[in-house]
Amino acid sequence: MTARTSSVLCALFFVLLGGGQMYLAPRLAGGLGLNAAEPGPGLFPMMTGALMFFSAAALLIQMLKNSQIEESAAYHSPRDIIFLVLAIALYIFLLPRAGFFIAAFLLLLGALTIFDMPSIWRRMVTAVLVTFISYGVFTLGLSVNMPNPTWFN
Amino acid sequence: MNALEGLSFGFSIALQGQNLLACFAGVLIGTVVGVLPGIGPIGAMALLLPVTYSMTPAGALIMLAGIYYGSMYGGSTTSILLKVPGEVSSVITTIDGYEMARKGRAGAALFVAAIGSFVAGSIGILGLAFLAPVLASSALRFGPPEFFALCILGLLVLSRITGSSLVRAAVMVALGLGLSTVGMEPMSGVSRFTFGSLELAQGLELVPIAIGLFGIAELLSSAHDKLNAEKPLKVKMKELLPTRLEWNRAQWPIVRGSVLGFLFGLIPGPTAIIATFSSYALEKKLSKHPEEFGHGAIEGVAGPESANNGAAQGAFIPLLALGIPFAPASAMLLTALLIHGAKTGPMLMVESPEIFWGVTSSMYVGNIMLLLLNLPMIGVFVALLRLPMYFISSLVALLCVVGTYAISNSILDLWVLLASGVAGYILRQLKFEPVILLMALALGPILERSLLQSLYLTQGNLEEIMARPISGTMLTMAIVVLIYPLLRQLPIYISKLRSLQS
Repeated sequence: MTARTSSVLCALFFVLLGGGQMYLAPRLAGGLGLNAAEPGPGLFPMMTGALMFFSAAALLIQMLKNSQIEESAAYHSPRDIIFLVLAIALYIFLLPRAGFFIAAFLLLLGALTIFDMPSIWRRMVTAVLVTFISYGVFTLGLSVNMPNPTWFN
Repeated sequence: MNALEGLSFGFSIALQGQNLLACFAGVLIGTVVGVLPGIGPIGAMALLLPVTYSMTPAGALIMLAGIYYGSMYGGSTTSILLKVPGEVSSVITTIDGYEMARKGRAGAALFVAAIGSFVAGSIGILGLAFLAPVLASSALRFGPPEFFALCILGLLVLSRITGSSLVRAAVMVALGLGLSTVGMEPMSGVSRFTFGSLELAQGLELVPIAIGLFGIAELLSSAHDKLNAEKPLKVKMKELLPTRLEWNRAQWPIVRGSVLGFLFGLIPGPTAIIATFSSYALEKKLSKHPEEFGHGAIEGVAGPESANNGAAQGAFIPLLALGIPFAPASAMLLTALLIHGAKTGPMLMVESPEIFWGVTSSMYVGNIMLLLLNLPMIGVFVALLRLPMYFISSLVALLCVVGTYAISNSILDLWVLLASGVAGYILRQLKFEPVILLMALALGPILERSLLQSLYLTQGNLEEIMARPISGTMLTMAIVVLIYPLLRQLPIYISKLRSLQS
């Protein structure tokens, strides 16, 4: 995807988001209020939605007019980024189910691989050590309550 | 409370055991963050926000402020030893600092940078202690219309200084304010945009979004910009002290840089960077040996390094006295103040003097700690540069997720973190400024509450807000901030028009 396409899509997304907020705001309980002296809970969201809609629309027009958006804004190879996002998503999925140790170990192993740590054995040893140390620091030292793993209960 | 009484009260807060520890942790982390390329002070502050939950608001701010000015100290180390600026404001130091290091004078350059930073910090603290109360003396005249105007001015100033275009900044402000409306409405308690979720009824937590926008987004950026670390030049302890000649040449640049930096810090924008370049230019102009600049002139290190610290301290005045962030890092500190439930703006000094004076005085303590840390422990910080980036990045990833979960033991917060991280990465790629989003999200509830209260108070007559002296002045300033870029372009348009006519 080119920088121009992604910029246009992003602006379009914000137009829709602002429009959606403007549509939903008057439909909230209490709506926009009776008048300016008695505003309702929908007034502020209506204003922010309008700001978003019109500024994003202006941005969209700018994007469509300007065909020379610098390519430096384009995405780099997304492979590592996607893997890192998936590693964090896996951690969030596993934390309440498999517990901290498995979730943290896999996240660290994934991150060390993505950031090019040499040798799989070194990665595994580092991941195990850091998992145990961080468990000690956070759970025992800072009293962070990790969830009980549901898969093992 | 006058400035001297305030400082004395502040020292009684700053010297309490837990606050001393918070200050030490802050400046140490700040130095490390400044030394390591790729991790900025904003990201580090966002990452450590959850840790501050168990602290008092004063302790939290003392630690976070320590990270900010500590990073200015640390930033010079990589500039001098690696020719890689740890912070943007240390870019100019790379020119003469690295040249000095190549000539075997790295120790002297680091020493002068540390002393310069200390002097600038001390001058800045005195300025803060004496100037901020004057600015905040109008505190008792602040009502909802004034807070509304202050929030508008703050958001506009931040939007204009971050370098983002006005339209992009407006989108970020709208997104942040829009996200702040999720949850219960402040006056009536009506649930908004929760889609039936009980967890969302409490509103979106600020910290997961902050860590996502800065911590996770930074990680995603570094996933494709994997840093290739260079080996730093070695520093010997016996080389640490400058010669008498070097010291004589560095003295006045330190003083001039400190004052210049402090004055620049009072202006909105990336002033620390501008201050360093201005100081460098000034020293080159005043020097008897301008030809040495670029080849290891000690004035080229002393002036800019003092200027960037002076600017960092100066930026605390608008933040603590008015609640207006003039720099992205100040915006993060303001976010921390809001998270801890402290009143921002002029009321901070009235309602939470322990925060204002405690933070101000702690900076002096912090500067002494930095001096003691940076000189004897320079070898340790240099060793940090040998830590592989894959290890640091992986550790940061774990810190982000564990830190976020620790806030309220919520898995939803972790999903918000991931979504904010991905959004932050995409926004950066598309040249949006996430710090504006965060600030708008933090100020959103205050802005909405003050707007609604102002409408009740004035019976819906917004003209009355403009008619009030303080709110009217601030809104006029906001309009000036908004149209200033257009005004600056006006002479160019006029000259173009004239040339067309002729």
